[in-house]
Amino acid sequence: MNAPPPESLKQRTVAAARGAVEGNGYVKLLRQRWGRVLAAVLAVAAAATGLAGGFERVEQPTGIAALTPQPAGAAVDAGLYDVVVQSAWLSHKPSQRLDYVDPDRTTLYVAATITWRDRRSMPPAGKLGQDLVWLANAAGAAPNPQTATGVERVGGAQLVLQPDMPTQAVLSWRLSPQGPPAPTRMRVAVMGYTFSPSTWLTQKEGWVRAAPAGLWEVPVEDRRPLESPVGEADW
Amino acid sequence: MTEAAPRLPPPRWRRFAFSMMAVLLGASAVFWLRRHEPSYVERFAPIIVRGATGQHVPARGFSVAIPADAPLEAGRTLLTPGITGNAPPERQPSTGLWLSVPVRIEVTRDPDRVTAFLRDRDGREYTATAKSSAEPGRPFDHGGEAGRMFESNLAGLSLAPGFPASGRLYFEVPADQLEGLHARFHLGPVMTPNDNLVDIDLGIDRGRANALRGAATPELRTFVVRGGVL
Repeated sequence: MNAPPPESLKQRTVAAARGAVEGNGYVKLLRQRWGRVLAAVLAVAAAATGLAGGFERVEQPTGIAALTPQPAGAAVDAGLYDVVVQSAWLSHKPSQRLDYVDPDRTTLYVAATITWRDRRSMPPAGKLGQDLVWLANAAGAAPNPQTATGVERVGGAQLVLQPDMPTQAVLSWRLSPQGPPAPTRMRVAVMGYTFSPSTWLTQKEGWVRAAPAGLWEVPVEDRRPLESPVGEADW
Repeated sequence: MTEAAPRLPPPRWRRFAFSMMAVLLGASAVFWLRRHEPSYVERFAPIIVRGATGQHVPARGFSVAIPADAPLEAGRTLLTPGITGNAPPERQPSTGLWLSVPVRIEVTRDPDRVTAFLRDRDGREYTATAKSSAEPGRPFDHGGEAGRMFESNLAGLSLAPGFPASGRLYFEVPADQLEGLHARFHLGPVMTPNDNLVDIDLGIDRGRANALRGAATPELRTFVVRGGVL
């Protein structure tokens, strides 16, 4: 195989890459002993943080297991809002606002009264479940936080929380057909939120998630057998 | 005539005292200005344009009027159109009251939406409930009532210049906070406007608040049904 001609495209590309590596600040740093020590310390710290759950905590809140479960009807101050979890039931209805039932689909519904404590309305809360991070797990099992897959007002309308107005909401979790059987008792936790004092004006961006604020253990009523399937053609 | 005595420069201590006074005054002025400079909130606060019911209130980019001849209405449960023509209306019971406010809104420069909310005397703000997705004139047939359905709710409606919209806005408010309510409007969907903000006093005093509470209907509908061929 013949060598490429001098000043060929390949040679120029390789030379440019070598020049970029040699001129890179991080590469220069690693040529110093103290630079290598610093990089090693940072790598160990990152690994230790990850092993200790520091990264996981962002999506998987810890501290739920330390809370004492309360019965349905107990009120909890969760910072930006007060919450009372009232009941839970299983349904084949994909949504409260739909008449039809889907026998292949099981949804866990939790009814709660939420009182928003900010001076402004809660923004239209189509994703309230995700925003406020409600969590569900079967009683007696290890905490398995799951954000709600849906949230509606009682009756099915869009949920908008108004200041100091207790509003009945229904949160829902779609249960996987491949998952464990639906529990007869369920634990529901709610995260506490506060405003960051320096950024309160920016509303949602200024929210600061605190620790889990409340845990309820409620019986789950099975309404599935009572629901008569209604085909789409009927409505 | 005697010759004027040469003017002596002021003593050194007096010059020093004068300089110190000037420095202190300058520092005080800087301190005062720093203490009284507008805050972040004040700098970006909207410019409030005030009005009253029955007035046409022009603002930059839009104008609003709350007709004096159309009454405020109150109800305990809000009925909005169902998602299909045969589905029953959706019911939203409230722990407070639903307040229906008649409005006439027009954008004057560019197509846009107008955001509306009520503000009570304690500074709490209540957004208008969203308009249903029902199309105007959609056939409706439920519970012995039939016709074509027209939504009166203007919340979030896209407006075009030259086409004023008349209708109502529906707010959920605590029953004891009716007195002194103001309706506020601004252009665009942002939550923190920094342009004109129209503020209209709804003129609800204690007597009118009591009357509204007393006259609150069990059900308040956002839509009207007009007869027609389905």
